Amino acid sequence: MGCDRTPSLCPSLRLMPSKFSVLLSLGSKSDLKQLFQTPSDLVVCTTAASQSLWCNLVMTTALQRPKPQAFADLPPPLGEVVAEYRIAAGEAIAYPVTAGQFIQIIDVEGSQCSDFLAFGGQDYSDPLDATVTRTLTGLAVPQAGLPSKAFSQAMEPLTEVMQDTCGRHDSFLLACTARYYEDSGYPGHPSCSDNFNQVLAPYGIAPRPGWPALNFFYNTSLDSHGHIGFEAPLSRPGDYVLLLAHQNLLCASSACPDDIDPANDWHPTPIHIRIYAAGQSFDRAMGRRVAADLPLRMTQDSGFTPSIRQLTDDLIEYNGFWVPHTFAHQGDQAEYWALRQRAGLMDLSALRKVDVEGKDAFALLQYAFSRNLENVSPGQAVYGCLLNSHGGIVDDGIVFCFGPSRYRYVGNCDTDHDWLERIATARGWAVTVTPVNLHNLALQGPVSRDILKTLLPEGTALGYFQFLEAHLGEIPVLISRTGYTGELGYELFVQPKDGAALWERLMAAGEPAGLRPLGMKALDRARIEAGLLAQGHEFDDLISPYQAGIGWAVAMKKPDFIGKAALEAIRRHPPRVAVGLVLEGPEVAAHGQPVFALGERWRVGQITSAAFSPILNASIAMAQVVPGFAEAGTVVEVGLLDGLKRRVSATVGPLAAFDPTKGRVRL
Amino acid sequence: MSEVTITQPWDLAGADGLVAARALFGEPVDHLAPFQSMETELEGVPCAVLRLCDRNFRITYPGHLDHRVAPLRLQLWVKRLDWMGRLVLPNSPSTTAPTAESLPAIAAQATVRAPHRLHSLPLHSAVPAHVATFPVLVWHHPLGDRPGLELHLAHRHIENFYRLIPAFKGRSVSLTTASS
Repeated sequence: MGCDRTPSLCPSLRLMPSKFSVLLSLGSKSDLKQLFQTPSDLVVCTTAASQSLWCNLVMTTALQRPKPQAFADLPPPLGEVVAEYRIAAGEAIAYPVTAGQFIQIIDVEGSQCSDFLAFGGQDYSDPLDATVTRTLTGLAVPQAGLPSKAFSQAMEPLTEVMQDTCGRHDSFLLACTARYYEDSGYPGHPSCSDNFNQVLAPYGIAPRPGWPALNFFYNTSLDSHGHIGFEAPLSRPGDYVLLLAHQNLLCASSACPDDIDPANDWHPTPIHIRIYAAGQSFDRAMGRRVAADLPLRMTQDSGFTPSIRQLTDDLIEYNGFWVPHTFAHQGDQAEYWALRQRAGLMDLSALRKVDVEGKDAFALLQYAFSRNLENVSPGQAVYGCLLNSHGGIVDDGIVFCFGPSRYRYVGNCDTDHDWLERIATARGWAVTVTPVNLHNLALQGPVSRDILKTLLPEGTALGYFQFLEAHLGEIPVLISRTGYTGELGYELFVQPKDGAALWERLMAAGEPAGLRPLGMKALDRARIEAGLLAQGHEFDDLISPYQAGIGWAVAMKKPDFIGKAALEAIRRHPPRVAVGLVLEGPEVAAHGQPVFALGERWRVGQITSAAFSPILNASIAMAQVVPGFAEAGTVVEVGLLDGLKRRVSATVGPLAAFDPTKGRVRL
Repeated sequence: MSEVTITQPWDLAGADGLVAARALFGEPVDHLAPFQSMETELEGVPCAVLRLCDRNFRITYPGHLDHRVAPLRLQLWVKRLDWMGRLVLPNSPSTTAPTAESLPAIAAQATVRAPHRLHSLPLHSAVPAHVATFPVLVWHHPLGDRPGLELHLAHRHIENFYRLIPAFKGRSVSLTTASS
């Protein structure tokens, strides 16, 4: 079968053995040619089922073996490919997919939208419905993880996002329409909706002036005024979405022809579709890009996740890892109370660890980290933060001291490693900064020491913020007397390969004492009670330690460190300071809600985190307010809803509403 | 076969739902996660409290719960849902394990959306499910002196639901109607 256009310009289908039915049911625009590639000689039978133009197939030449690397502009296949299609810029195709197969939609050159339709049910009568999908998933766009499915009008699952390397798509707007182009002064401009109408017509699907679609890579956003805006896609060359088909589907995909605005960055380019065989296994993952110069990072399991998956299906993405949100048949309330009354076990492997070694290791951390490390001896750890030159918090974390030329920083950010290296290079310091691939569990709660006693007796002697390296059975482990819950507790760092064994041993040892696994939902409640900071809530790189509530962790007496000059000024006149609030009544505030002066229209601060505290039986919040309203006992008002319809009185108190003197962690 | 007679539960929901539940049943009610329940007493009358979300509860109290809540003057509603009925599937007296005998039969015909799990549903727990084509809340908790399954579903589905599941035949079923 001939093709009078180059492969990069014409939609093409690559067939694998025994997959001929795909060829026979292919739908395409009537004026398009198809490129068929087979790994062996192929007999093609054409049957004209109707007089429609799409059936006018013309056999012109014998099929040839495909050239290897036919699509050299693509990332390698993820598995066994049974068909693939190249959609030329500005065009669209329809293609059948059977239940269990996977659809990979690849943005070949980057910055290109690909609108997607799917039809399930009998005779493809049940189309994908973005409104149903948003409603059932609670997300603007499906993403890999628990709420990952796209649903039909009949509320049946059609597809499920398995992997997504872009993370920014649209489910609100129609596939582009002729009307849009007409209104913009481009009458007759091709549109995705018209292209879909043409390729769907052979399947008896009635045309629509505009198709509601999932618009992959379309970078739309909703602002606080309700306006939907769009900009150039965030997708890079090779970015993709991998979908699992939950039923036999007719799908349609476009390479959007929009060249009159930034939707495709003004230059439409091709889209590539790969269909993978059913029965394969693909990890669920979403891609994260945390810096322009860092590679894409896909969501990963920790060494503990296989054990955790036995206990819950409710996992969420957190800082590049799948972590439990709540546990089945248990719930966050039970987890929370287990933590406060007995013990909880949680996976905190998403923390980033870097070793800082060399003769200038001390100098580097003394300069980059907020605490004074002069008196920190081997086996001790200290909490503090990495700072930037204007006194903002780059990250908060813990420095572990192994010796004067060897430290470990445990924080939150992939960029910490690069940040420390750049400082060392700029200062000419002899130091190596190396990521450490350790995963860690936190064993926390009033009976955590008792649980540990049988497994690692030497660990029970650790003082607050001390650590040691030991063996738990045959498992090498670093154990520290640290935590993120406001309870007595320990963190245990191990090689990922030892994760399952450590999890099982701790759970078995702790079960008689009432140990329960703890999810992120319960952990968040506990850390808010304890006044512990979360990045993106209490701090970012524009917020100083004094505003975030950890001014005590800044060693201003150090001769020099990053941001010292700026922090000296901020300390005297912080724009806001962190406080705790106890709200009147049970309603729970939310991040970003305003804090008003009593009876006034003007704000004095805003909520950074909030929760209902079961142990205090009160709605509590962490907030950052102007200094004049930070005194304990001051009564302010928290604006719920829009801040006009409902306000709740709140009383200022310590940042940690629960155990503000930290008596429990120092036990 | 044994008969368990039950009455229509009360539903309690609103901004002050948790406040009301704590006032009625004490602090233990706040130890429940959504879809967990506890057996308790109110004014000496045994009842079960099922938490449905942070502030919503379902209570198997035979008396006038609305009269008990009204003096609290809270922001919430208390009512019996007249469109909802209950099926009760108790264990046989010979069963000693704290599981419901009918659970495997129901689970075999049920679909449950993650993160809920019907398999090995513990006592004092509930799960929203579809059994065959019917939306059902499956609640595993003590019924009388034995654990059993209490199924909540729309009145209009109860008769067909019962007929459609042979595994339930021969077992005692108590169909309640609202009595306010």
